[in-house]
Amino acid sequence: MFLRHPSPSSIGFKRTGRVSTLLAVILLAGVTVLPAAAQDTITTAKLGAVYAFSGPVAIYSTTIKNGLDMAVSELNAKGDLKIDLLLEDDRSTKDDAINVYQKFIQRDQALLIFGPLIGGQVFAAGPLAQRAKVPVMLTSVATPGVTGIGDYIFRTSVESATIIPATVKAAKEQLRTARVAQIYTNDDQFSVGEFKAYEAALKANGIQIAGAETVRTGDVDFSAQLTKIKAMNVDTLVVSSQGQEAVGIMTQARKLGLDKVRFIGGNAFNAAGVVKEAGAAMEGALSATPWFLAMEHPKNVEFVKKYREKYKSDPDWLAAQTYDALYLVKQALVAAKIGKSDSVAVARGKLRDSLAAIKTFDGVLGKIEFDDKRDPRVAGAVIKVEAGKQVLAK
Amino acid sequence: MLSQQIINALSQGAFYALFAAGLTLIFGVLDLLNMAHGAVFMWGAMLSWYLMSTLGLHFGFALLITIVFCGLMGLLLEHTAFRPLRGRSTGHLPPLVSSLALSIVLVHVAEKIFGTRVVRYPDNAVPFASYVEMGDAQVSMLHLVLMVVALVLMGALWYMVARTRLGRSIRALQENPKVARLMGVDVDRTIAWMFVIASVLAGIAGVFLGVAYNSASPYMGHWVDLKGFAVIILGGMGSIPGALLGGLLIAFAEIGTVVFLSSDYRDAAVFVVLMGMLLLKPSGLLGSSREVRA
Repeated sequence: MFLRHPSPSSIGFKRTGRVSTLLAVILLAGVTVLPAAAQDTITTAKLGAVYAFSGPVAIYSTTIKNGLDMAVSELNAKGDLKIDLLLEDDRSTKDDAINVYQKFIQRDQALLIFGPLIGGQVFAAGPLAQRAKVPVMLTSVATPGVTGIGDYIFRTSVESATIIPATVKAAKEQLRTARVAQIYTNDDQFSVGEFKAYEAALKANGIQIAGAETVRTGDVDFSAQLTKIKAMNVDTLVVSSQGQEAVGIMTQARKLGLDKVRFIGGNAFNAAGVVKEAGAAMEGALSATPWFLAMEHPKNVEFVKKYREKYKSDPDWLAAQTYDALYLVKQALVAAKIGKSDSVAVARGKLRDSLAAIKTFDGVLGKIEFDDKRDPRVAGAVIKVEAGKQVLAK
Repeated sequence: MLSQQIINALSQGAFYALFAAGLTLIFGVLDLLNMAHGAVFMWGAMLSWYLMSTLGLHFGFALLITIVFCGLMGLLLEHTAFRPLRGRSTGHLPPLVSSLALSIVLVHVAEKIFGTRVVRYPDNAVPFASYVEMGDAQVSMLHLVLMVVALVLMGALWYMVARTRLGRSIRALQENPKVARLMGVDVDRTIAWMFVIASVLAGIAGVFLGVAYNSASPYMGHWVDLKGFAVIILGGMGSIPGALLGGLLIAFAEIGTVVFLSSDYRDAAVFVVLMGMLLLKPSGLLGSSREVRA
């Protein structure tokens, strides 16, 4: 394959002559070009972006692509440093994410890679970039631990677990939550993470946890667990599951006579589709989100306005995180002062150091602070379902 | 709360039994596991959803069309995955693989037509939406109807096998296919009918499960297949009352685990019960032991 590294034997004894000639030519060329080019910085940066534009999770990539396109066209209109963004589809698979990474790293010589979409893909492809020392900027992955792959992995996507304490605080103040039960999907890493974050936040706020029940991904019948929860006499049920199970849990709870129980939940609650499908069952539910349409800081107001004009629809948190990521990378690119004569390896190294040096960033998400693991922290917003619509909970 | 849990278990058990009835019919007579049963079940749910939501059909019409469609699907299944292999003395594995292959095709076609996400039935299209209070239990009329439908259908199936002409052919086939053919039983026709009946049952189970839990997706057949196999092993392969008993037993084991132990062990408990049964009575609760004779 074209991507294979030459093995040591293939540049062995027979070819020594040719290789040394080649080296001499390169060296001579370098000597003549270097002194002049050292002051000049690059005017175009080639970056790669790989997302699931087809396949089972492709539904999330529409707003991401809009966020990419919008940010790139705005940034390139300014004219100082152009971004040449290569888009590739990984068909929602790990294998294709790996293939595209290899293409970006070796053939296209991209300085940085945006994406892929989901945690599993990052754990598969990310190590390739780390080994090749190519910076990666994730804009959608909320799975804990992805930046642990290595110091070349960055993200603007916020781990939902980090904003869960805000939900608990709001529930305590606004719903007078005192005694809760928890229900979560125990074969889904993401949901287990949310469950644990909730458990810790509830304990920290002195809220009594009457019990915890589990469901599995793909379950449709939750009646046994919910009947058990009904007997616990709680005022609030904490739901840590993905969208389809969350909808089932909330609607079936109402049917089993849990009429007065309030729901608070994680990331799944933020999805407009979940709010619509759960309908009246979800009225009054609280959840925290890293970004919300109605957030009132100026950058967000302007972003939402421009996005609506351009795409005739509302952006979501993925569009916001992706848009911020592009601006962040642009800022780092400019600060890195990459020389025209710098090799790709040097340029990638400079960009990484420059990204790592940015500790706070004012974006559409509000003020983003990056911790020492390169994970973003934001204040986020707590939202409430009111008359079937998501509003800021105040 | 216990009465509510018993109702929960009964309705879940009725559904498992209805799904497993078709599986056990095929397995009991032909000694073949039909791996595409779950795919037909999924088509029942997805097609009825499509008819009710996109075309706005009434539940009754949607059910009727789905029944016809799933019957035809059974015919297709038999003609493509099982009949071509029947003439060859191929053993158990090829039909298992060919039906598995067909089930994958059916899932992919469903993905293309209906999309990959979980779908919800339109509110106004769901029948029997009311609730009755029984003591401290809230019982959905829909779940009660599901229980009655499952019982009636399984009774009818049992009657068909035990009392009708087709049933006699089926029993003759089970005894000895070669002799049955010599005695004038149209073997191909009988087997085709069995697949039609089994697939109709799977389709009806799909419609009712989809509506009862207001959820359907192209992937819903996978977990049901596994439970279905557990049910027929537990109840005795080939026994229709065994499927009913097996379905109820598994549902009670699941819900009993949630109530008395922890929901963490729900699925594990089912398979512990299954393995216990295999150790104590390998032929299942109501299965007749088929000894291998020299």
